[in-house]
Amino acid sequence: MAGVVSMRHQSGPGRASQGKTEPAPVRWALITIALAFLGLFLVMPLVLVFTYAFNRGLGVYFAALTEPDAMAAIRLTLITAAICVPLNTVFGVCAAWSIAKFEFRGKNLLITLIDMPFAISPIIAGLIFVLLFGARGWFGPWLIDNNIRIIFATPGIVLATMFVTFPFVARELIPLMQAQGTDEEQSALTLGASGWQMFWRVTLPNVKWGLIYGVILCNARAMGEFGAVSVVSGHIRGLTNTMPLHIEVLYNDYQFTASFAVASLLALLALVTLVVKSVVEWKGAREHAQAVREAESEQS
Amino acid sequence: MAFRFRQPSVLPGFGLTMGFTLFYMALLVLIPLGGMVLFTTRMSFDDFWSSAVTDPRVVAAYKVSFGASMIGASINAVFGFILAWVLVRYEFPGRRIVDSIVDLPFALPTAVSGIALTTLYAHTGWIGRWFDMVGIKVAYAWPGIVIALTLIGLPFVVRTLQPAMEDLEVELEEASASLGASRWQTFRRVILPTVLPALLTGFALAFARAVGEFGSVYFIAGNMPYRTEIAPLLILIRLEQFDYLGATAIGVVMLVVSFVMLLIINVLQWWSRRFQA
Amino acid sequence: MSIEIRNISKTFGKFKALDDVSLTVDAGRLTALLGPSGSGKTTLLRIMAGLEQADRGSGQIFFHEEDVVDTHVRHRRVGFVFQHYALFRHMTVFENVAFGMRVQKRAARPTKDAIKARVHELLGLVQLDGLSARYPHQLSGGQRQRVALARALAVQPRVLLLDEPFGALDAKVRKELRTWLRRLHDEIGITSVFVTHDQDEALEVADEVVVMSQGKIEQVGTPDDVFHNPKTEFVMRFLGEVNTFHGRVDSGGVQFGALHASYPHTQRKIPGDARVFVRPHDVTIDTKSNGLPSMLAKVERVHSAGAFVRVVLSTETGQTLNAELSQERFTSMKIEIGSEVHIRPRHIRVFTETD
Repeated sequence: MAGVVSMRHQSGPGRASQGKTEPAPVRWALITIALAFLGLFLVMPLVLVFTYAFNRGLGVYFAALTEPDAMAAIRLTLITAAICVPLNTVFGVCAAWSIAKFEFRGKNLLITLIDMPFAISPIIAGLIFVLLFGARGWFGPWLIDNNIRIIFATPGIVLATMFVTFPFVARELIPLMQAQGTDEEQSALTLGASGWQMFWRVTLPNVKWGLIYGVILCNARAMGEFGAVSVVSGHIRGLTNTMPLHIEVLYNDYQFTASFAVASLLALLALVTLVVKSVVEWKGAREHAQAVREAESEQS
Repeated sequence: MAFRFRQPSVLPGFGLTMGFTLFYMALLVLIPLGGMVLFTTRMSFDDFWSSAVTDPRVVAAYKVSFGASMIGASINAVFGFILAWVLVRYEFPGRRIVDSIVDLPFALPTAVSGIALTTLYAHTGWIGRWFDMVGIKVAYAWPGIVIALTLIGLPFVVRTLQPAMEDLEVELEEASASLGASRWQTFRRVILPTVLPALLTGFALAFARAVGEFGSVYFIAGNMPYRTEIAPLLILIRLEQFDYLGATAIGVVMLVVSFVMLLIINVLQWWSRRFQA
Repeated sequence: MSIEIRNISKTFGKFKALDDVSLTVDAGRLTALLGPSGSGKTTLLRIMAGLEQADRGSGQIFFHEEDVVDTHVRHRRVGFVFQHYALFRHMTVFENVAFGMRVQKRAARPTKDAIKARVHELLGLVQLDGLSARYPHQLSGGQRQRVALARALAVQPRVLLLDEPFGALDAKVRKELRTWLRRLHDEIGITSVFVTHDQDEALEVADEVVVMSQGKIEQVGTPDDVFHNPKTEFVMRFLGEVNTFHGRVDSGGVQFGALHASYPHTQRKIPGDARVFVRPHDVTIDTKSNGLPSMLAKVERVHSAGAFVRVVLSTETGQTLNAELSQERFTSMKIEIGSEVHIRPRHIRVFTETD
C-alpha cells in the first residue's frame, strides 16, 4: 500500500501541445476547483494549528511546551522514535537487500506481508499487543508474576509504534534497489571488494536519498502515532503520554492553546518531512534527467 | 528439477538479511496477529458471532465506518482525479508546492489533523460557522467523519493516479483527436478507461485506509453510540471495559476486511499492468 | 595466463545454458565467444569470472595450472567489463578506477600516491586522463566503456573478460572502439575473452573465435579458419550469408538442382540427403553457357548501390538465391532484370544429416 508514498521522478507538464489540451476557461476552472479542495482540506487545518498555537502570544506558547507533563510527553516520544526508527531501518535495509537483489520463491507474498501494517487499523496494532501482554492476554499472568509491565508502559508504546511504522523504510528502498539492479555490486566483487565494502561503498551511497526519506517518514509517523499508542498507553500523565496523547488530554481539558502548541511541533515535523521529500525527489529528478540526457547524447 | 528456493547469486548476505527480515517480521507482525486470531478460540462461535456481527451497536459502528469511508473515498476519487490531472497536465504558479502539500496527510499526525479539523468545522469554527448558518452540523456529526476520512485518503488517490496520467501517451489523444473525437469524447473513451485501474486502486487504498482510521475521526465524530461511533473506536471502548473477547471479535472482522482490501488492491494493480508490454 | 575450461555444464531451471563445454584459451590471446542470444556465451564468460557457478559436480576451470572453480569472484582476480559498464554512479572516474585498489586489505593496499599514479597511468592508457574528476553520467558511452576497462585493469587481473563490450554503443563509436581495443590488447598483452553476437566484430578483432550455439561449442579457430572452413552447418549459416540447396550425396559427389559436383575429399560423406551451401560471392554468373555445368536462373532484382552488386535470382525450381559480383563485372555483362543467366557455384560446402 505504500507504493504511493514512494519517491517519484517528477516530470513537469507541458507535453500536451496546442489543440489537444482543454480550453483555457476549463483549465482554470479545474485548477481553481483543485486548489480550493486542497485549501479547504489540507491548508486550512494546517494554518489553523499555527494560528491557535500562537494566538495568545509566544509566552503562553513556550509555557505550554515547557510545562512538566509536556516535557515528559516530548521525552517519551523521542525515546520511542529513538528505538523504533533504527530497528525499522535495519529491518528495511535487510528486507530490501534480500528482496531487491535476489530471486526467490514467494517474493510477492513477502512484499505483501511487509505491507500488512499499512492496511491494518492502528487500533488493531494496539489491540494485538494488549492481547499478548495485557493483564488478561496470552502472557499477561506470567508478566504479572514476574512483575514486568509492557502494556500501559513504555515497552507497549514502543512495540505498537514499531508495528505501525514497520514497512516505511523497506517500502522506500525496495523499488529503488530493484531499479538499480546488481551490476554495480557484481562489479565491486570482481574488483576484490568484500561483502561489507561492496555494501558500504556501492549499495548504500546509491540509495542514500531514498533511505533518508524513508527514515524521516518513519520518524514522523513514529512520533505522531496516535491510535495504536492510545490502546496500549493507559494515558498516565507524565508517564505514558506521548505527544499526540498529550495533545488529546489537553484538548479534552479545553486547554486549546496548549494543545495546539504541542500540535504545532508535530505539524512542523510534518512540514520538514515534506520538504525533505521534495528535496529527495528533486535530486532524483535531476539524476533522472541526466540519465535521459545521456541516453539522448548516445543516440546522436 | 529439484525444488530450489532461491536462484544462485554471487552476491553475499542473502541468508543473513532474509533471516533477519523473517525473524523481525515474525516477532513484530505475524506472531502478534496470530495471537489475536488465536484469541477467538477462547470464545464459542455463538459468542463470537453475537459480539462481532449481530450486536446492534457493532452493526451501527460498521455502517458508520464503511459508509463514511465509502463516501470519503468517492469524494477523493472525483477531486483527487481533478487534482492529479491539474498537477500532471497544467502549469501554474506554485504547482510544485501544491504537489508537495498533497502528501501532508501522510506526514501529519492524525491527532493534529483531528483537533484542527474539529476546531475548523465546529459551529463556531472558521468554516463550521458558515455551515451552521444554513443549519448543517459538521463536527460531532456524520459529515465531520466524512471530512476526516476524505483528508486522510486524498494522497492515496492522487499519488496512484499521477504516474498513470504521466504515462498517458499524448499520441493517444492526438490519434483520438485526428479521428474526429471531441475533447470530451477523448476523455470519456480514451483517457478515462486507460487510467481507470489506477483510479480504482487509489479508491481502494483510500477506502482501506479510511476504514481503519482512528485519530482524526475520534476528535470530530462526537462518538455517539449507534450514530457517530466508528468500529475502531468500539474496539478501544471494549478494551477499556476489559472485554478482550468483544474487542478481539471486532478486531478479527476488521482484519479480514483489511486482508480482502489488500487482495483487491493487489488484483487491481495486476490489472493495471495488464496492458503493459 | 591461459584459461582452461573442462566439462562445464550449467542449467537454469530446465534450460541447459551450457552442455559439457570444454575450451582452452591460450595465454596472451584475444578470444571472441561468438553466438546468437541464448547460445550460452555470456554464461560461459560469467562462469570464467566466477559470477555464475557451474552446475554442482561438473567440470573444472584452470587459470594457468590453478583450479579456480571454487575460488570466489572476489579472489579470482579477473578483470570483468560489464555490458552496461556498471560504473559506480556516485563516484568520479578517478574513484571508479581506484576502487579495486582501495578495497584491498590494508597490508596489500598501495599507498595513496601509488594509487594516484596508477590511476593516472591507466587513464592515460585509455586516453581519458583529463576526465578523472567527471562522474559517469557526464561521459559518453564510449568514454564510459573505456573507464570500465581501466577500472578492470587497475587490479592487475590475470585475465580480462568483456561482456558484449561494444553492444550498447552506436555503429560508428563501435568501429572505432573495436580497433582501439585490438591495439590496447597488443600493447598490454593480457589474456582476454570477449562475448559478442556480432560476427564482424569477432572476425575483425579476435585472434581466435569460439562459435557457440545452444550451449555447445560449434567450432574454435582463427577468424580465417572459422569463416572459410566452417565445421558445422551452424557455423556456415551464422558467419555470413549463404544460399542453401537440398541435394543428395552419392559416391561421386553431390547432386543438387540440375548440378552434380564433386567436393573436396576432406569432406567425404556417407551417401544420403544433404544440404549444400554456397556463399553469394562464390556464385558465378554467365550470360551464355560456356560448356561448364551450370544452372539456369532468371534475374529478379539488382542492388547496385554498394561496393559489390547484389543480384537476386530465381532458379528453374523456383528457389531464390543471392549472388554478389564486382561492379566491373556487372557492367561488362549487361545483366538486366528478367534476363536468363547461367549460374555456377565456385565453392560449395556440403553437410549431411550425420554432421
